[in-house]
Amino acid sequence: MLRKLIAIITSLKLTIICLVAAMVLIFAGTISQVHLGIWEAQQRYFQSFFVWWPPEGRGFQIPIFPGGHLIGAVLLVNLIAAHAKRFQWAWRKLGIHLTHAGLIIMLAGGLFTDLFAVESHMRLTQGDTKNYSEDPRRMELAVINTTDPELDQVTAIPEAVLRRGGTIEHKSLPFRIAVRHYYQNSRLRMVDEPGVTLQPIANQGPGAQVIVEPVPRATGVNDRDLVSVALEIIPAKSAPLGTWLVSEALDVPQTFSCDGRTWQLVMRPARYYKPYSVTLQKFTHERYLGTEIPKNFASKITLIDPDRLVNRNVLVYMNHPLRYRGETYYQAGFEKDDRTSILQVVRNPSFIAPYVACIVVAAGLLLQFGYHLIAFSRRRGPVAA
Amino acid sequence: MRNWGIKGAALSVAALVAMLLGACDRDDQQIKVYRVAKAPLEETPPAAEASMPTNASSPNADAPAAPPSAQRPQIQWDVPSGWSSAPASAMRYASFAAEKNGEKADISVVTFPGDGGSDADNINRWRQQVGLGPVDSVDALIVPQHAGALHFSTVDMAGPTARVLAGWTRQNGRAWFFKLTGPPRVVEQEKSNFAAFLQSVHL
Repeated sequence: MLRKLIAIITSLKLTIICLVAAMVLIFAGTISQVHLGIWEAQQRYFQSFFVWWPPEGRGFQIPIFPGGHLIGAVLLVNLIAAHAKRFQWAWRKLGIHLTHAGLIIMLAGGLFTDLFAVESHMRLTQGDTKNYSEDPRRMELAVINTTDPELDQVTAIPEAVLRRGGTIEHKSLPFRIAVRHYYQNSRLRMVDEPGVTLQPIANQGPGAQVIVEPVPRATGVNDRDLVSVALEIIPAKSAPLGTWLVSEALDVPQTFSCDGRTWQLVMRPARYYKPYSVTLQKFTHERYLGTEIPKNFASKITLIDPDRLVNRNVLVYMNHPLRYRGETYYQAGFEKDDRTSILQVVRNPSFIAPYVACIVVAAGLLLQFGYHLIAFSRRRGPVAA
Repeated sequence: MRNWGIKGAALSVAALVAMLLGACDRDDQQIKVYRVAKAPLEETPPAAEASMPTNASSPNADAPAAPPSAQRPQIQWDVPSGWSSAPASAMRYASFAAEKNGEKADISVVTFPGDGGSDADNINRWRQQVGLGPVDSVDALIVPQHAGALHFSTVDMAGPTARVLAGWTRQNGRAWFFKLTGPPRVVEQEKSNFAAFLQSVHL
């Protein structure tokens, strides 16, 4: 049994199957971008262990094809196992070993980047200070206990948890949150607008005067879904307080009292808090003289980290990111008033893997071909005059 | 040879299981709790089309403006000089920004059908925004102001780092809220402009 398993995971056939599956997956994933958009297609086909059918809904789903993560992981296992099985130490094979090791590092690095890298944005207008970045593609419901005059206690519930529906309980909350309606993409309209026939799904806060219309998923590269959710707040010891509508489009805070404390509900882009702060001192947008062609974008920021006694100015510009505490800040965008800068914040624990992999593979190939070249020239002997 | 095969297989399977376990514990599936300092007043991010990636070829190309909605409730006002229009979000009727000495104040116009909530709830919510505690009775905070035929209720509340001036009126089954928020110094400088703005409102 074990021998059979080893034979399978070390076989060249498995490599071929994985490569063919990867080709099919890339083809299907590329075609699906027409309807799903690039972001959703990446999530469903490449950044998943399986492609599921049916893709939508909370009901029964079956895996119909291996996803990018699974194919990559099996390829990696296959490569390691096959190499280990056939491994024979000899100096003349050092080049081959190094080349394989480089490929393993490359594959493992790619997989780890997909699994563990986090990308977010920090949007700063000149003078702004922030200690968090946001992921505009991923929403969260922030339930904030604002009772303390100094500190807010935030319970951040990811959109993925809301999407599952049901009732949410957490030890930090003296109430349960029942998800009554979930809209992946929606449009909000005032209930008294002409032509509106739907009824509000909330009975508390401004959502009680708003209706929610479901609309198809956003598929453009720069389009985003407007997630809206109706939530019922159910205290542990009393009757439900009512149903609130939360949506990024509702920018008025929604407050209620429960258990003698004051709470706020906010739907917002998921936040990643940092133990340091970043202040934008100046954003520069230079153009070539007499034209509107951009020449340079730069953000002068002040980095303050009380734990490490850091207080310094940094200039972030194209191809010159700031690397700090495992995160990299790139100059990613700006707003048209030329006063607001958008920095892309990337946390990628395996960012070094492609560099190491390239060096190891290059060294391996040089050794292998160098060894053959020397052996060949020795066999050939001196050239007759 | 056989030992190497078994070791290799075991190593590979262990690596795969570790990755699968790691993937199951992803951050985006977990409820997180943290304590943070009170959030400063935050402005609403503008719509996506107002921002440009730095690799765009023509950063000054104007984004198409949203067509004016014929169904919007009608209101008129005079925008004070020095105020600039800011992108209105879905729930804001209009937004403006005023800037003095590098400090920025946010002016919002929000409208709701009905009464838009009780004065006590609204005022206490604004008090929280500027870092003040709630009060039981808000009557003493409200100052009436007349603008032609309109009757406004106004409040002026200053917290440690932010101040809010708000005026609201209820007309024809609809509530209108006008709010100026920002650092205390710039709000003080914009106070007369805000009063003039309220005076200029016609419904």
